[in-house]
Amino acid sequence: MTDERILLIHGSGGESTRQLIQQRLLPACGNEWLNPLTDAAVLPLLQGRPVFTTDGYVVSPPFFPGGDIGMLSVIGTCNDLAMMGAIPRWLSLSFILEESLPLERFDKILTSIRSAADEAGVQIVTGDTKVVERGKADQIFITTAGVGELLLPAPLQPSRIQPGDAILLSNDIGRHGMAVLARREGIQLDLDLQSDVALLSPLIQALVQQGIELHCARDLTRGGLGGALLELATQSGCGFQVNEVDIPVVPAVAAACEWLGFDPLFVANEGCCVLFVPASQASAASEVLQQFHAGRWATRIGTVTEACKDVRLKNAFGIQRPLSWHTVDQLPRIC
Amino acid sequence: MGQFGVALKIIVQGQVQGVGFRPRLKRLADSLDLPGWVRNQGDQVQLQVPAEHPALTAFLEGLRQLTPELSLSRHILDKPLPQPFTILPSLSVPADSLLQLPADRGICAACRAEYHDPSSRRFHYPLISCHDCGPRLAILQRMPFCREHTSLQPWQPCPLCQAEFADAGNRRFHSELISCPQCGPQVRLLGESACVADAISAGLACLKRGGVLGVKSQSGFQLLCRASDEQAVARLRDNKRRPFKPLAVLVESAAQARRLAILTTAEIDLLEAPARPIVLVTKRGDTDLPIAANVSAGTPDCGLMLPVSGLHLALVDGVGEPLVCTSANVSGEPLLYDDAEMANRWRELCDLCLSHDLPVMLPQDDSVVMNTSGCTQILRRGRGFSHARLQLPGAGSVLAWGGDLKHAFAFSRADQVILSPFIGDMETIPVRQRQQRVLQHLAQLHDCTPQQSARDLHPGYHTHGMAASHSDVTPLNVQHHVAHVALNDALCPLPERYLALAWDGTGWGEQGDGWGSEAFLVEQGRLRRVAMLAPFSLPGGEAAVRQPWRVALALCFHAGMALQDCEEYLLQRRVPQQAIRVVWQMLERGLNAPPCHSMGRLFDAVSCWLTVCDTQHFEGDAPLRLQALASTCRATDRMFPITNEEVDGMHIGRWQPAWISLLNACQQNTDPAQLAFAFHQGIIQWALALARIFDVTDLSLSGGCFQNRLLQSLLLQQQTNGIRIHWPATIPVNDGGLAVGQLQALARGWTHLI
Repeated sequence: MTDERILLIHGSGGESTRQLIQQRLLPACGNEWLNPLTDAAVLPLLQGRPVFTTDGYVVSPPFFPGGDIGMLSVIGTCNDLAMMGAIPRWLSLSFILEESLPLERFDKILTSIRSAADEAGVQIVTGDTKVVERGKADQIFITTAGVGELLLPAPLQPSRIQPGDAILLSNDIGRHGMAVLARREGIQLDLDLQSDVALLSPLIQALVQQGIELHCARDLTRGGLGGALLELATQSGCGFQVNEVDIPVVPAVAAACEWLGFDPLFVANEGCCVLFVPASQASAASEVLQQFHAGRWATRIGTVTEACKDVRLKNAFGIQRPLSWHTVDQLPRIC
Repeated sequence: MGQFGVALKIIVQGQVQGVGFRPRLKRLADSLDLPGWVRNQGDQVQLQVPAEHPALTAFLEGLRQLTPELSLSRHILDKPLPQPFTILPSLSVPADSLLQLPADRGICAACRAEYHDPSSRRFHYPLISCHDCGPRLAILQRMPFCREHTSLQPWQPCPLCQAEFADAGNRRFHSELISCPQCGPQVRLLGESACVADAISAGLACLKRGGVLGVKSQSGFQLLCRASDEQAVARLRDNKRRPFKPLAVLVESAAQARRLAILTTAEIDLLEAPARPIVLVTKRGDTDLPIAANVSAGTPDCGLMLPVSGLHLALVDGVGEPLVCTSANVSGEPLLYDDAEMANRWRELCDLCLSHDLPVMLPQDDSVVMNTSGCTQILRRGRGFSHARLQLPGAGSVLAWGGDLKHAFAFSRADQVILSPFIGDMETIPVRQRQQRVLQHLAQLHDCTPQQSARDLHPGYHTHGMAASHSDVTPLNVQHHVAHVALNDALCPLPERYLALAWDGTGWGEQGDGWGSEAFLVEQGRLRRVAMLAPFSLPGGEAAVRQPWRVALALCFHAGMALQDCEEYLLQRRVPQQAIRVVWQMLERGLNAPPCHSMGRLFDAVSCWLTVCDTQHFEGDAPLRLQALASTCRATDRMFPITNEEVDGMHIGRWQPAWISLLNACQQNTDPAQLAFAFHQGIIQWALALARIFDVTDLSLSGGCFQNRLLQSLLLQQQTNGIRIHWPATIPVNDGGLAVGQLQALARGWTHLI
């Protein structure tokens, strides 16, 4: 049955569902584990330790400058695994579709998922599709789970952060949040704002291979750089001193934030992470990152310290202020 | 009756230490041949004299002339009273209430004369002082006040000073801080060693050639330069990273001050007061003294100050012209006072630095005051005022954290309150560290650490979080404007029923919205919110505070105007077109445009429209410019009235018609000064209309908007129409007074609005 839109019957588990899966999902995502369409995937043993994560994607609008919800769901999940030091291997994808979602749109998302999965070198090994009535979901929600393989002797984690460590940023900040917001609100900014959604696992692996002693990494999604630093300071029990002037913000993001009244520090990213390495390896690590497009603005932004327990921002004149959660509502429905 | 008779035990309270009280008493007793003793005890003075003595009446009369705050009781003696009358060593006693600390006092006329007198031992002695002047609180380590309890203790008085100290006929008889060029702390240059004369000559040479000079003043370091030298002022501003905010000027005398400004008697009294504050006065258009344009641009007022110490005298006399005089610090940090830190940092702030070794224990900024139509207002409570203890019945034992801007904290015990000196804006780490240090120092001096605390309701205030970390007991929240109202309630002679206006730039409302134009009816101790301005949006949140054109655009939007009606005007003010278009879209969509009804922001918007102010460089910049513009208009009948509409028991001030009239008048090229004045009149009329609606004769004014001199004088004129105007004379109406307001709010039970 060909129809231009997703209908409730596509989620009923009958013929329409089967056709949807056979004609659309399998061609896009298929592989030896998914194709049998069994209730669950039986996976081979991993050499390293399994690392497991889950995520939900509700970004509005589903298509935004520089990306879409499909590739975001794959890349975001892989990035979560990469932040532990794991190599992403297998993903599950669960769709909740709104009745009347145009099939063409669904196809585009699937194609996007396929490209992202290929780039990341991961397989979609299991999945699910549900359809809800019009108005009960905003076009498409995607929930993922991901399994990665940790070949390092120990995972990257906040407890490994030490006073004296250098704090590095892999790229410039604020692009995803501003791009999505502008598109969603229909604000004409006349700026070239594209999401920065990008795979971070190759960057992490490159650092590992070059002998960089990575202590911790965290990708900056909701809450931005500010949110990540505040969380990590609490979780590591350490203080961070960060130089504001060293944080890269491209002019388009700076302008958008200035006009709209947002602080780039708290704007979401989808292709940027903060990393903690021994100070002696900071330059080497930056150079490794700069080899990648997703790390072209990589730089050191600060230092881990024992002198305080919170996150301190130093301005151009050397005056420090403490970073605290913004009282302004953080942007909703960004990822 | 005991064999030694009965003594009259007298306890004297108030400002009685560090003012030469005991030596005056001794002179009085000796002149009457009266036995007995006196000593400093805690923060009081205690004395005993015979209960029966022919000279007793004369003694008590003389004593009452020195101070009215006596308490007398009879005491049976177990040993004879000393003869002659003796000053005993000071005694520390635990206090059951807060201590009255001794005030820092600016150099007195007698010491100035001595400083200039070649025959005096203290000729050109920069640290000259006496009973009536010199540092007190700034160098105090503990009470009671005596040399041993100050940072002057290591300097032993030389034999000549000791002789003066013991000589009842000498001006410095029993002067605790007696010193002279031989035995006192020496003035020297930081980074070099030079004797006194050379150091000061070097300092003068630095100033004369247009340099920036660091100087250690009574309560911290300052930066000085010639006020006529635009480049020197520009460099000083660069060093401080303070490009725009007006700078105070040190003048040599009231006579010189008169050449710069039109002064009333009240203003001269303030200039010459022992607190020696910066006094905001109206500039004289026809001054014969050159002052660079970049000293205090954009305001009709200037801040003048008379010399606080001999060191100031040396400099202002030596250069022979007014000097810019401001705290030594980079924007975002508190004033520098620590010798070691200044030794490391003076090169980034000045070309040369004059210092001395007497440590400052409690750093304090210079106070800022002004007098409008005979009424004094303290805008910043620092050196010279911060020692004063306040009475606040029902205050309990509470630490109040005040607000984030112009921060000062307060604590109370047994109906008494101490307000800390002005600390600064709590946004930066250095200011927060200073606050902690001052809190520790004052808590130690008063031996007071309350467990209960009060703070502003705003969850984003740094002080809100600090209050929670400081104590195990959950702090009590006081709404911002309620605290403002409560301050006046505590300090002003208000009747049982009155209308309180709390107008300022911003304050967290009970629903998290931005308040700032509140009117509260107070009757029988109950507080009820009754009026506010109609709300409008702040597109970009905080960005709208820095860029008042956003507020102006928002007002146009809410008044139902179209973008093309207002865009042109803003383009002429060099606001980028793209920015205007984006902000308009934000208004249309309600994107990041939180609601507020702030009087301060309304002033900002009007200022933007009528003056060149599309960006605010410091707090109050825009309204100051508007006031400056309005003050060039003598008077006008024109008014932009704000009408009242009652909605659900609240009186909403509709500003929309006034805004549209203002814009139309602008379009017709009406004199903007007239329009600025008319706007002020319209605001006043709204206040008076509210007073009529609620049938009150007393208006309490608080919040930063009421620092506006034009608003003040227009309201004071209403006193002839039977309206009584109230604001506190001793505590700031801006956020610097919040802490005391919070204590009163707690005492009144105003932590929840009715």
